[in-house]
Amino acid sequence: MATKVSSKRRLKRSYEEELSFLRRTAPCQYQIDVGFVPNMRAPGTFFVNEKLAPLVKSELQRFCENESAGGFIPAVKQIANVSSLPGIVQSSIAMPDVHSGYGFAIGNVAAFDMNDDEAVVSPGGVGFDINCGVRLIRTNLMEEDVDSLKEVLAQTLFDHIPVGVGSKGIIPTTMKSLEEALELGMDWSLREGYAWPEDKEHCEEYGRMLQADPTKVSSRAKKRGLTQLGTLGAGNHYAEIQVVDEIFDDIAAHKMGIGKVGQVVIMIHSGSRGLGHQVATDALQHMEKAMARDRIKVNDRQLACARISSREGQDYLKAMAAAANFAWVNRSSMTFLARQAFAKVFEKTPAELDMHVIYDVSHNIAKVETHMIDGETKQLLVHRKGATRAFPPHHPLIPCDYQFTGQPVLVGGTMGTCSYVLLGTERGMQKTFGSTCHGAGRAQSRSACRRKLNYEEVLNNLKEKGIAIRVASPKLVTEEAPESYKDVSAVVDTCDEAGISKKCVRLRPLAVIKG
Amino acid sequence: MSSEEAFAISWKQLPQRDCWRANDNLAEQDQDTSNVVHRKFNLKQCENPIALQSGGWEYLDHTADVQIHSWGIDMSEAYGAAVVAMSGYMVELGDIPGNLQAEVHIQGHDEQSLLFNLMDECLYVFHTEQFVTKRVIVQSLDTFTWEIKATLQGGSFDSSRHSQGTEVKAITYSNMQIVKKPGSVEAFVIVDI
Repeated sequence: MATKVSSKRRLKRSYEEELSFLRRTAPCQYQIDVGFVPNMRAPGTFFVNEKLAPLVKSELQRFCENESAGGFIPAVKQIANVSSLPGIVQSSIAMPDVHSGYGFAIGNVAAFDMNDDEAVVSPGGVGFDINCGVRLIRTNLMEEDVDSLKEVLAQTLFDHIPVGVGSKGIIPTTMKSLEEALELGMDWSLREGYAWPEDKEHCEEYGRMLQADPTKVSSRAKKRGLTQLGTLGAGNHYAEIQVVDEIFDDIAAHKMGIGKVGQVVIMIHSGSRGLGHQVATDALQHMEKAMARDRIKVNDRQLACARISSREGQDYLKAMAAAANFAWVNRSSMTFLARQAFAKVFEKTPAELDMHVIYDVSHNIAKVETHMIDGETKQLLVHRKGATRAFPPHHPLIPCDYQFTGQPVLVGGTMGTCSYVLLGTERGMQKTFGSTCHGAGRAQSRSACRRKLNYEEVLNNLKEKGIAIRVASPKLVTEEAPESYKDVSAVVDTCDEAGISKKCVRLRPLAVIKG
Repeated sequence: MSSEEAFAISWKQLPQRDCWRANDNLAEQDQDTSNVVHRKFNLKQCENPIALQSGGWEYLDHTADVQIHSWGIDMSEAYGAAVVAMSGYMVELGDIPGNLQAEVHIQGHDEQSLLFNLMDECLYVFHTEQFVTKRVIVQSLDTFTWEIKATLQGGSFDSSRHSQGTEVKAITYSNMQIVKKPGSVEAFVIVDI
């Protein structure tokens, strides 16, 4: 063991040597040259502006200067590790909110050629929270209607939506109906009466992935999912009541039903809960075996992968689709609960309050898409981990309503800071496989935040800003404080400047519900 | 909110439905039995009052997630401490009664997968049975067949009474390290939050 460690150390390059592999190729765009990590098959690319670049580099610096055991792999190394996977197309791309994750970096996008026999699918490229995503619901209320009722609304929403560690759903589910939900996605919600028919239209994939196969989901995963349907979860998941702060693109905002500054909307950020986590864990274990069999070598064990055409690869894609369906059902169930909460407080029906879904995006998923690569159409399996799909206007996969404006991209901010709605662009389609950022991205570690910040202080700061808050765990408040995240506006500005998406609406929170 | 309360609310749009049944019998159709040798998880009353977990642990900095660093005089202690560290991140361990115990029998194919599988099993029982592992007593650890037999001691978590931390979503292999030195073993595991 001792010799292994010392040989590792000798191979380690200094921070300056490592930096020589990173080149700025355009404003807001950096390239990671081949050779940064072993076996790279393509370069890496990441989009950051002057404000965000130091954060990315400091992770690398800490890694280089770390002499002891432990530590984690910095995001740039992880981006480069991904480009060593077989079948990668063009480059491994990272969004401005990039930070270190496990396997893939958070904010990493990578596409694999479906027609290449060697090409792989990796559960590490989707993450544990399969189809974690954001949904935005509009209302016809204005800020002045809600202002006096803010605390009441926050409490009602908190009472309706189960949050926190070990929370149980109140949507009735049996094993049989869970299996149906896994297969049908939002069609199940529609059938059971939890969703409106229009909701499906404004959802990626229309809220249902057709290749889903519930029999590929282990009973362990189903058991974890059974009690958690319609729960928000903990960590960075939240439900927020927000108000439109600024409109950058009037026409597009009108298409979404956002008329003027001051309009109230609801944002829900959640995923596939324990079911998705277990599906990913199970797949990781199956793929370890498949890798030994197919002699696939990767730089990081968490990058476990299998050929797309192999049994393990296909099984994972089917199980992932089922977990994705579960996530849509989960968000639909919470939409139902939020509608009920609003209906109760305002004594009007949700329809009278015009509580339509504006859009629902997924930011942890792998999808088969058609892209133009060097003038050729290609079928690609695009992995997006902590990155949102952002298709341009006229793309066949976006709803009729948004055909002329481009796909709405929902970017959740942090507790107490702004959120944004962006629009997909043609440039993004060419440069990033039609992807953009997903949120602010963490800047500080969780344990550092627990040490440095006091939860009462964080709560008081929110109170001063006039934000009502309900949380299940005070510890989490410090971990999720705005101070521990990157500046979401800098992230969004980078996307806008690089042209991979453009700004449409800025939202500001009024009330936050958290795990 | 309990389900009774939820159903007492007059929903404006929908009729009431059947109550959910959490204890539905799961079809035992599972193919994947490679990691956990015993499928049935039987909780029993503890025979003796439980002692503190031996070994130690700390939480190291990681941008998005949490890195658990645990240590002990041998693998059993370091592995057990890593499990308790994970529980400690999700709930306040001091609040949880230590009146229950259960036996687990886990298999892996190397030292890392053994730790991964042990932690995954404990996470699974937390999420399905609300059982918080406060102490892991390793009965036997076989480094040839990579099997571990252990007694988990702890208690039930009740979100209405006990204060909670952050939910751990999953265990990762990312930069997992098990450092063995004479007389001490250290484990580094990143868990996804």
